[in-house]
Parts: sequence; structure tokens; C-alpha cells
Amino acid sequence: MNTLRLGIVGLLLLAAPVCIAQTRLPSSVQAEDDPEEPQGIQMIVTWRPPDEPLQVDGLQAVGQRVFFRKMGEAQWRLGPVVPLDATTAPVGGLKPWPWPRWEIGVSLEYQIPGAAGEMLTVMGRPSTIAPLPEAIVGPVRPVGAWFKPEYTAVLVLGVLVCAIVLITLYTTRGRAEQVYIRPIAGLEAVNDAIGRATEMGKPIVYVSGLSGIGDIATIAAMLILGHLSRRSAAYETEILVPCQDPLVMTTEREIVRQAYTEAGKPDAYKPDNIFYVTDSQFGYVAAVDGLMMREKPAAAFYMGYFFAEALILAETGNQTGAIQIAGTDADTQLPFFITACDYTLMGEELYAASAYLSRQPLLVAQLRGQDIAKVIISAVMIAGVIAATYAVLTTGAAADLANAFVQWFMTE
Amino acid sequence: MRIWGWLLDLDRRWIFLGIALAVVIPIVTKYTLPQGKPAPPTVAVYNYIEALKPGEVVMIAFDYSPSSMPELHPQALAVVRHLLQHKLRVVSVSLNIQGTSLGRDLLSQVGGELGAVDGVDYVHLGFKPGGSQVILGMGESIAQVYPTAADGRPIADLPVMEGVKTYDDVSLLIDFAAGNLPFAWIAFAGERYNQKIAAGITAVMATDLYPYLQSGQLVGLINGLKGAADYEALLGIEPSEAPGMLGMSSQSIAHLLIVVLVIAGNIAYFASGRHRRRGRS
Amino acid sequence: MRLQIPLLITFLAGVFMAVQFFVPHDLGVTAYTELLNWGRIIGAFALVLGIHSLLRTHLEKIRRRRHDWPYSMVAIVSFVFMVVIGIGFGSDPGSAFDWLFNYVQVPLDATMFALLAFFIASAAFRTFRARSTEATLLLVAAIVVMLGRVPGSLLVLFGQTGVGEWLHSTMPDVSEWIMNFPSVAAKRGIIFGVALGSIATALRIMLGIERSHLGGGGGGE
Repeated sequence: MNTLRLGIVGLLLLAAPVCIAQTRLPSSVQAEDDPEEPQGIQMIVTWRPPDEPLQVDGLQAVGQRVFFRKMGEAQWRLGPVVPLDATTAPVGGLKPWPWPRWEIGVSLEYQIPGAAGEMLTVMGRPSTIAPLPEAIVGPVRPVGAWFKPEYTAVLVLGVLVCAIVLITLYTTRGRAEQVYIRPIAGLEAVNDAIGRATEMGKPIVYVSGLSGIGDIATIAAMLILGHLSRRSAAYETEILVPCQDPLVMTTEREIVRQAYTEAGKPDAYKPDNIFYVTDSQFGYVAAVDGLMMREKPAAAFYMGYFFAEALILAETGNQTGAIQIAGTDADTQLPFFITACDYTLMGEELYAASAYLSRQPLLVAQLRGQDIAKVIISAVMIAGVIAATYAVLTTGAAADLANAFVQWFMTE
Repeated sequence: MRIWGWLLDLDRRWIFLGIALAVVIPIVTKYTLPQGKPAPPTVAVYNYIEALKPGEVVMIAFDYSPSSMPELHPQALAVVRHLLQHKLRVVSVSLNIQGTSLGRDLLSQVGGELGAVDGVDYVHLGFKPGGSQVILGMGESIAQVYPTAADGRPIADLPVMEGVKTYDDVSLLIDFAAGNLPFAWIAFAGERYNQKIAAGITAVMATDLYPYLQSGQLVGLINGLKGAADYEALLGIEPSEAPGMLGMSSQSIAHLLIVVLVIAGNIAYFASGRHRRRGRS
Repeated sequence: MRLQIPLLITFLAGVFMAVQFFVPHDLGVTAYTELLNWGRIIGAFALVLGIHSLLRTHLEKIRRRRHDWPYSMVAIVSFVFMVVIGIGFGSDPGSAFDWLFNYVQVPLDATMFALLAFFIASAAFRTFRARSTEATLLLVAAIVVMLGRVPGSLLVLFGQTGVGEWLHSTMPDVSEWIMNFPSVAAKRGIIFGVALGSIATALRIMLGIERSHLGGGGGGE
């Protein structure tokens, strides 16, 4: 029945003279890029609505429908439905890449009276009458923006920090051995921990956090594992690495294998010591706790990002009598590690560990660059606080300038 | 002075027993304690929802797993009850696979109690893997990420989803989570698509989220079991019917016990003279 | 070449990710989504390696009858059982998989998490000492926040007296103040350090200064 009705609509339209279509159907369609939408997938369509919507027997015109399709496509895609007197509508989903050209049209939307909300379907597809050639605009294409102006401050400061780090790297690397690095007790203790494990003939357990390979803390933890395994390989002390993420496991196997090779002990490398447990947070904790209770390791390392499991792991390690060194940038878990572990690397100390352990000139130089950047950012922050306070307390040109300085840092 | 030495060397299992009794006895006896005034971040969530008009859409993300249920489930129960009572449309998703069945069961439980209809007043879209990618995807088109609800019904057929295309059509998103997903919601849905976001989190995560509350990136924050109890109090639920308030009694007694233990430990530490033996802190 | 090509890929991917953050254009969004998709696909393959590692570790333990090998048997049987039930009979509400999830996984997970309460109590008792001025400040702040979170406990401690009522009404505010200001200030300090550390770590990996993860000596001793 619906098919028949739509067939009638189609025939009527084909038979209708252009002048009727122009007054009884939407016409004069124009489209331009939506300037408010930076992604470049939306255009604003404007048109002339029908003076008196085309009546079709048995059907009721309920609105105007916007259609769009790529040039050359036969099938129209459905855009928004707007009231009968609307003259404009945004059309989204016009992907500008890989640079297609679009056609946009407007037509009337009909419903069977009394069946409000039920879409008329033809051959199983939602359908209204397709737009007439007079109510189509194209080819058109939305224009996307290539930069978010609200992120200018982020870009400037980001480039500044990178530049400071790189310049320091370049100027300091020749005299890196003169750079003072504050002693970090947790890293000083790494050798003691390996020595203890070697003396006791017991393994070291290494946990590299629970946040997956995409987290920079996990990457820092993997770098520390590289240094640690290079040293332990020399003493042929076993390192057990239970993993919560298979990608981390695969990478860590490669790191430890490489470390053993560099230490001249490729045969001592056992891939099965780096094993996957489960991705379930507490399932993993249960497995690691069980491992520690059974193996009674001489040392346990917790490096990376941790959640609520931090204290459960560290307290169990504490019960087994292992020397424990933790390092995390998860500040909520720091108190727990500080409580239950012998040494804790706090926040960025975790990232500095690689430079600290290796004393490699480039890494040490980069650490210095990072410190200089921190001093500059702190100075900017203090200036911001003074400017914001001044802007609130006073008025005038200087206050406006101070306010503009603060506003410049606002991202949204 | 042997008692101080004994106290300092107390076998930790006695402490475990004390905590177990402090938790179990209030639950078994249904002992309730008067609530303090609700925390402002919780009130902010309540007020934000109160200001929404009936028919507006609120998206809930059930991003927690069974392990954090004791803290987060009472929060979610109270909030969903509020939303449905206020005649708001509830659309829920899960980015944590274990959260999807928890969310589904919770919605049908509260929906059943309040006479709300699945598909009309609320719908559970279920789990999608991918985390941030799912969040970003819904900014472009919810239907593309979730063509069907969790039970397979096409969302185009569901009255509750009428007119809900992207975050533009969602008045508030509330993420219940114990991991780092609230940060992903803030970064991707909040920053990229200007979605208004509130979060219900475990108490241990609170310090992580407070900076976002101050910066306005979160409209409110329901914090731990206390947050759940506060929300229940705001809704006027009877304490004996409120899982959050009942749980708070256990938590109150356990906190009290820990405070007493810490103070006793310090008295013993100084009275026994051990502080002189160990200079390092 | 074995080293250069991974370094080049790392550099290009790093630069792209940094640039796309500033580009709202659909080209950037599409490419970003595409890269995330690749990550998911690689992750799915890595899961196969993970499962292989899991089975191999436990089968080896059973084969060699190592200490506590029956637990490995439990692990393997549980793994196979859940896979068969999940794939064979689906995971819809009311299914066996759903039942196992609700009545086995949920209580087991909750049990492990609940250990935290016991461990926090014992760790606090053992180590929370007023050894110095800073430690004393931390101790007092912790007690105030703890009691502020559970104001009802103050009525238990002091009864419905004037002091009890006063503490009951003011302690949550003091607790909220500590959370909102001193705590957030310290937190921001750590965030800045961590953010700078992340940028520097990312830079040295992108530029190949740190390459111990690839082997080849950079960052080595």
C-alpha cells in the first residue's frame, strides 16, 4: 500500500510543472560551510520553503527533509527533518576526505495520518520523495579548519618546552658528567636489591603497572626493566615479570632478551619468566600475591601506573620480607607505596630513573633540560597568579593587560 | 611498659579481625548512623539533574567492575532512581566489559521498581571495546558506534533514542568508574565535544578528580560510599532501604577503629621509647 | 636497518600524534581513529600471544609437577570452561556464562578488593607515626579527612553532646577544605612534574635517544 502511495507521489511530481514544484515543494537550495564546525563535515543549507505544501491523497506532509549524497551516487542519504516553514538546517556527516563532492537536496516528508512517528517504508527502506532537480545544490564541499586557535597557548608552551629540552641536550651532552643529579634513594638501592637476590639465590619480581602499553608510565617502567635485567643478567639472577597486558608482555620479553644478550648471557634468558596472567585487575593481583607467597622473592619492584591494587601488592610483598622498591606517577597510590615499600620513586622520578641508572650523557642532558623547563613554567605560573590577582584587585589599562595575559592561557 | 611493646608488635591478624568485626556487625544489625551534611560536589550533581527538564537525555557510563561495586553500585542506584523519577531519558553504555551486565541489571531493577519502560524511558546500549575511540565515535554519531542496544534491538526503533544523534543531544554524562576512564571522558567527550560530565568514583580516586571539579571540567562529583549515602539522603530514601547509608555505618566504625589504632600506635611508639632508636622518618 | 626503521616509525607516529592534537580537520580525526583501530587489531593479536604464554606456563608447571601444580590445573580448567561456555552458549542474561560471572567472578573480585580495607588498617597502624613535624601534619590531616568522611562516627566517639554535635557538623567542611586546597595544590605540583617528565620521555623515545626498548645500546650502560 505504501509503495503504491509513493508511486502515486512520484508520478504526480514527474507530471508537475516546474512552477508548481517551485511553490509547492522546497526550492532555491544553497549550501555553505558551517563556520562553527571546525572538523569540516557540516554545511548549512538554506532554501525557499513551499508556499503551500504539495498535498497527496492519503498522506500528510509533516516536514521538510534534507538529503545528501556523494556526486555520482544513486541513493540519497537521509539528513535532518525540519518543520514545513523552516528555511535552513545544518547537514552533518559530509566527510571532506578523501575529497568527495557532495550534492544536497531538500524535499517534503510525508506520513500516514494517525501513524505519527512511523516512518513510511518502501522496499524495507525509510523513504520520502526524493528532491527534484530544482531543489538540489552541488557539487559542494565543507571546509575544515587546520588549527584549533584555542590551543595556541598549549602549542606555544609545548614547543617552548621541547625547544628548551633539545637545546639543553645539544649544549650539555659534552659535559654531562658534570651535571649534578640529586641522589634518589630508591635507585641507589637497585644494586642492593639485585645483590640481595643473588646472595639469597631467590628471584626478583617485577610488576610494570596496570595501565597498558599506551601509558608513558608503563614505557618508563619497561625502560627501567631493561636496565635492571642488564644488571641481573650479569649475576644470573632470575627476574619474574607477571604481565597484565599481552602487548606489554611481548615488548618486555624483547627488552629482557636484548639485555641478556648485551650482558653476554643470551643462554640465561628464559622467555617463560615473563608471562601473561590476566587483564582482570584483581585476578592479576591474586596471581601476583600467590606468586610472591610461593616464591618468597628477595626483591620486588612495582614500577608504572597503579590503581587500588597497589597496597595489596606491596603489603603482601612486605609480609614475604622482600626488599621493595616502587615507582609511580599515580599520586593517589603514592601514600600506600611509601607506607609499605622500602623505597618509592615519586612522580617524575620514575621517568628520570632511566637517565639515573645509565648515566648516559644524552639522557642526563635531557634531565637538565627538563629541570630548566620546569623553572620557566613555574615562573610563568607565578606571573599568572600575580597578573590574575592584580586584574581582580585593580582597574585600568595595566589590569586589562594582566587579564589578557591570563586569558591567553585559557584553552576553552 | 611491656604493654607498649606488645601493642607495637601486635600480630596484624588481630587488626584484620577487628576490621572484620567493625564491618560485619553494623551490616548484620542494620545499625545506622546520622548522616552529616552532604558534600558540595555531590549536591552539585543532584542540583544539575534537578535543573534538567523532563524528556532530556542523560547518558550513564557503567565503567566499573564487580570489585568496586560496594562503593559505586549504591551511587549508580541512587542516581538512576533520581533520573527516572525526574522523567529524564536514560541511555547507558559500558566501556568496561564487566560493567555492562552490572548496568543492565541495575537499570532493569530500578526501571521495574519505578514502572519505567525499557526502550521508552531507558535503554542499555552495552559494551564496546576501544575506550577513547568509542567516546570519540559517539561524538560523531552514537548510532554508528551503537547501531543496536545491548539486546540487539536497533536503536532507530527505540523511542528513548529519538533525536539522540551525538553528544549535542545529551544533556549530561555521568561516568561511574574505578579506573582511569573518567579522564578519557573528560579529555575526549568533554574537551572535544563540550559534553557536560559528572563522575561517580571510588573514594581513593577523589584527589585525582578534584582538580577537574575546580576547573569546571566536571559539573559534580559523587565520591565513594559517602557520596552514595549523601545522594540517597538528598533523594529522601529511608536509611534502612538505602545501601549507601547502611554501608556508611560499617565504614564509619571501621574508620573510627583505624583512627583509634593509629593514635594507640603513636602513643605506644613514643611511650616505649622506640622513637629514640629510629631517627629516620 | 633493523634499528633505523623502528626508530623512523616511532618518530613519525609521535610527530603525527602531537600534530593531530592541534588539528580539528576531519583528515586528522579520521587518521587518528584509523591508528587507534590498528592499535586494537595489534592488541587482539597480542592477546593470542598472551593466551599462548598463559597456557604454556601452566602446562609446563603441570608437566614437570612443579610446586603447587594442581593450582595450574585449576587455572587451565577454568580458562577452557569459560571459553566453551561463553562461545558455545552465549553470554546473554540468564545464561551459564552470566551466572558464572555474577556468582563467581563478582564475589572473587570483590573479595580481593576488600583485602584493601584490612591492609590499609594494618599498614596505617604499623607505619603512621608522628616522627617529625611534617609527619605529624600528615597524620592530623589524615585523621581529620577520615573522620570528616564519616561524620556519624564522631557521634559514636563523643556521643550526642555539644562537642559531638559541633564536630559532626564542622568536620565534613574541614575535610572538604583539605581535599579542595592543600591536597589539590600538592596534586597539581605532581601533575606538572609528571607532565614535563612525560614530554621529555616522549621526546627522547621519538628522537631515538632512549632506545633500550629496541636494543642497540642507546641508554645502555
